[in-house]
Amino acid sequence: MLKITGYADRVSAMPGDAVRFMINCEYPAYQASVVRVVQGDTAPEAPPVKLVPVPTSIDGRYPGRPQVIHAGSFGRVDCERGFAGVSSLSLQAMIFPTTPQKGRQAILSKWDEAAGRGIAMIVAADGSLGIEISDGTTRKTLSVGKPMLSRHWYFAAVSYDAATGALQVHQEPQHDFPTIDDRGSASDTVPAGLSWQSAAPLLFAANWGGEDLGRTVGRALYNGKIDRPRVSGASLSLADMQELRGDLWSERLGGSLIGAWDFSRDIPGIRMDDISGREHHGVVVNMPTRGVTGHNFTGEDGMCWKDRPTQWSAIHFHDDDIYDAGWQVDFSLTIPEGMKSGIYAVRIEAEGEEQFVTFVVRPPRGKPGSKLAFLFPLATYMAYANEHFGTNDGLVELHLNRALVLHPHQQFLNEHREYGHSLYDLHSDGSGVCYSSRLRPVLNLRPKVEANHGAGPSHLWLFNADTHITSWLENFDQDYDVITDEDLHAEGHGLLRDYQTVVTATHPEYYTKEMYDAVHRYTHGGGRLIYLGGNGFYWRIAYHATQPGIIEVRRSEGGSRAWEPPTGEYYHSFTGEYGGMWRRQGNRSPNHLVGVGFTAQGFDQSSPYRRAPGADDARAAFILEGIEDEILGDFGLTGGGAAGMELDRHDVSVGSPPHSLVIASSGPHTEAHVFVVEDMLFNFMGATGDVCDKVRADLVFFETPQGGAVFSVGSIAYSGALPWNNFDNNISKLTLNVLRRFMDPTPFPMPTS
Amino acid sequence: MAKQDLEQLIQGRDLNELVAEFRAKTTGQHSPALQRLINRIRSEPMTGKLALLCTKPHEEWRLVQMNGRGKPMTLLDGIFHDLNDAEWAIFKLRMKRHFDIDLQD
Repeated sequence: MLKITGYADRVSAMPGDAVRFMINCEYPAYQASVVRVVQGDTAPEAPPVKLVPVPTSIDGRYPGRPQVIHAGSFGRVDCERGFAGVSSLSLQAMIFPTTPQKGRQAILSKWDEAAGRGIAMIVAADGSLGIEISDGTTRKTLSVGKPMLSRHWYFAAVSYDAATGALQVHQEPQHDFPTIDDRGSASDTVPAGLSWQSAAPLLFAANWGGEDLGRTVGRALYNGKIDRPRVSGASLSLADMQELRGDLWSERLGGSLIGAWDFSRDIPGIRMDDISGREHHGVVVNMPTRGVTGHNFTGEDGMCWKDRPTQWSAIHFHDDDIYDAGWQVDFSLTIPEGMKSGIYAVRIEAEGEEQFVTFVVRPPRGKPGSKLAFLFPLATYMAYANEHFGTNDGLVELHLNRALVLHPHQQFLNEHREYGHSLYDLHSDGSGVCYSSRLRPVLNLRPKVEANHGAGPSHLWLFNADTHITSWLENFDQDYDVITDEDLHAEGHGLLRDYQTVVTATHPEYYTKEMYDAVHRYTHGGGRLIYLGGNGFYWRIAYHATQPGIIEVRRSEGGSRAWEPPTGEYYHSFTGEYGGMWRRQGNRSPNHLVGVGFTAQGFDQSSPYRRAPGADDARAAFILEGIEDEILGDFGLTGGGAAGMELDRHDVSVGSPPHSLVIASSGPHTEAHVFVVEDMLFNFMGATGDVCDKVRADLVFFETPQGGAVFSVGSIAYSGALPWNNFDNNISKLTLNVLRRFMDPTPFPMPTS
Repeated sequence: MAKQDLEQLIQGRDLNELVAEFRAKTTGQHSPALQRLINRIRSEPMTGKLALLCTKPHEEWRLVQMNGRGKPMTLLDGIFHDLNDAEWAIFKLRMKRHFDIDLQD
């Protein structure tokens, strides 16, 4: 099991920037150094691993120390003055529990877990609503005793009367079902004047487990939604608490309110606004999901939270949400002036174990160091961060059509769920993960790592597969800058403007509007884009406006997707933008941008391309210059062919420019390569690679305005063919032909009709 | 799984031929009957699924049984130095598990 993990506070840095590294190391000491990552594939069939040592100020030996992650989201309100002199209390909310049978879970609490003291409205161990109260000596839990249904709304309310010692619990389902007995109340008595007051802050969806190195620790974490929580400094009747369910209440009830929180405010942010007038505002911790439907969602008043925010006044908390691991800094690297732009990693070594933390050195803003840029798809790496494909869903083996091979980091992540999930995973309550942060160790963003999805012999996916491209560039002495799409999101077209050519990675799948528009403006302003991958520019995503390093996806409406958002949750909470495939976003399909779009996927074996009629067009002569072969790429490190894994097809009806040329097409593919669901409105047979001619990768070229051009390969496996036979093969030669012409500033003339 | 289910999967093909086909080529395009058969036996849920843990990159794999989300896997007897041999070992175990058929190397 891994004993070293780590992350950096930023992935992209330019000379002068400081990058802070946080390391968890269970060994007494470790050695740290920096390498420039050129080739990270350890397969014997691949060129030798090339990690170039780069002496820096961080080189040295450091003491190891364990660092832990406190996962689980909750809301925190610091309002001690609001509780001053309060002895009777009422807690209430509309709740939508998603794991009522999980065990004790706090919904609203002022409870110190370590001291065993406080008061809390809970999902009790029996799955019903309860109240828990303790002065540290006398402890009482009272529950309704009728388990709540998962994924149904309930009015939940509890109270303690300090004058009489009376406890009340009320559990009212929003919908009654025959055969389901889940409505009820319970009452009991504990000593009057029980001193439940504690140092705990008011928390939503957790009990207070203390503070650990600046991080609030949540315990008894709740899974599910909370809507319209209210806290009153009095023991209210059931009728009074029912009145407080809404958004308006009498002055009499307002007088006893300590807080009433409206989660429909600041959905894109982290605030939880108190609308009681007491100004007891709070914040969310570990990024629970916002922009989710509340108990009063109708579906009749719009489907976006911006249409009628009051119907989205809920937050979905998960016991495995994680945003910022918040580790202590172990060392910091200030990027030296003149440090070459490229992909780097800090290498941590101890007692035979090795770990990497990957980062990028970009050129100073406005001062490219090369005319060629490699566009590092950080957003997509984040989308796949710590994926659990191999350990969550048994059907993965049918996806791969080969045995499931797990790697040590996946074994670790399966047991260390606090490291958080990828955008492909489900939370522990079965809901889709729609946020992913890079402020935690990302164990699949490093050289030498293998994955489930990439076929043999290399078995690479995303970052490490992308080092086939960087090693190919360096083999042919191509100087290049490395820039990240996160910077592209922030800076737009200006980041690309001065490059003659931009080369993508193997799978640049996740794009914000800003990223998409910047690439589009680049290709339409004379820029040259080489898209060396498959299934690119597919999902729309959003970045958070105030919290760095976190992205959101809402897998709306269709597409090849790991989960489906609930009705009413198709819009990003971070921006209010409609989520889903770019293809559904109006003239922004990948085909519009790069001439091809996702058409099939399969992960067992790849296939070659064959020349297509476009190869004979004089406009494409430079591409196949010196290549006589009919078959292109019947070899490779990813499945033994240049076309495989995820494939894109040229299709004018989906947006491919009519003047684009198809130079080559792949196939036939294996039966495991299956036509995408977004093109399959009815299920039909004959949709697999052995029989369906739409299961193919098209290699496409087209000219763009102002002398620009785009070359697309439409296959994730393509880059695995580049290093084959020591980079001496027809795919490598073809790609080099394209790169050399693209680096020539001579404008591409637009073809005439 | 009952024997008649196996018949439905292989639809008259000689099982020995299908087994030999898999042994000769574990990955990629298979004949329709073999693909049906392996689709069926690979449909195991994550709890109880046979899988491989890579213990030396590109050199060594250990047979494991998955025990469900979040639960440690069980290391089983079986260490392989070729993925095809590992696939074959899993195939044999599943033929026994699903159809009570003993296959020999």
